[in-house]
Amino acid sequence: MPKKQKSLNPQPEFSEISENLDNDEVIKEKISEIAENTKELKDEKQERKPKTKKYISKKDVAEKQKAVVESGAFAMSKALEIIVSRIDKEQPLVEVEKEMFNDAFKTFFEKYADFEFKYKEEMVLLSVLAVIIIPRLDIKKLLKKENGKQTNNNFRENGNGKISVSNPVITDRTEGDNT
Amino acid sequence: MIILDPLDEHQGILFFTLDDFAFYMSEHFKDDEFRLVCRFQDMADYEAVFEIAETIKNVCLVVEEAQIYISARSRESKFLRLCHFGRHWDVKVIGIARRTPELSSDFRALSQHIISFCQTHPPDVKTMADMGVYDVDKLEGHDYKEVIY
Repeated sequence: MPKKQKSLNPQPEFSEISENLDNDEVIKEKISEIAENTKELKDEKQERKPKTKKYISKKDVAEKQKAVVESGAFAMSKALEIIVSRIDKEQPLVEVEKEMFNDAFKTFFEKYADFEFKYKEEMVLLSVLAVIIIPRLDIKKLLKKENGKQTNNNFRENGNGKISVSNPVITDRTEGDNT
Repeated sequence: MIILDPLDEHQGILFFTLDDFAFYMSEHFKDDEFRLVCRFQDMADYEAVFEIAETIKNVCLVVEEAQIYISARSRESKFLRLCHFGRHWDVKVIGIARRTPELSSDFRALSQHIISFCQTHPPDVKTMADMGVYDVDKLEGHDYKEVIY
């Protein structure tokens, strides 16, 4: 079957004819298009414009670091609360011990206060550390179970900063006596 | 006539935003006469005016402080495009500038009608002489020299 040959003088498409007939509309559209494109270009330029960095003095840095230490200690105490609440399921801890843990981690933060670090990442890291460190503070050893009964411990800090227990009193939790 | 007037020197229908100007132009581009004054804040808006002039055709563009819109070595500009090809669209460009060396070399080369008032700075005088307007430093008061190519 012979191939259909292309015409040397192709007829203009309907859209082209209509464009010629309605030239005014085309100009109107083009003017509004130019205005819109310019607006978009300006917006893009504005987005690409670098934001000026604020000068931070040494005093500001020191204050910032102090705030980090305080906020770090707060975050750590929160993390501890979670950990403690887990431990609570077996044995409640007294307020003194909580404070002791808090102080320990505050010291930990102060050690790193000289560095500018990304707070959130550090918080997460330290929270993880807390999860690892706290179970190793002989708490588990203190939480002894005996014949379905749990210990109610009188924790005390010894000279090495470790926790020791004195005179464990065995109580039956089922009785609701938690003193 | 469309006048780009950043320094508040001309009278006419005044536009402060491109949107207003574009809206007016889309309604009145077929008018026999208009005298529009553009006083925009953003340079990009002026570029759009050059583009619109190319679209509507048959318009006279008065560009005050012409060195603002096209630097001496710039090769990419809607204004430069109008200088090069404006005659195809019947767009006349009148450029007004204080110092000719600051103007684009293309703009200077493509000018057909040059009018100069007194110039005293040697580089300015030399540039005018290169363009065929001699002894502009000897002009006094509001005297001017005119060269038509």
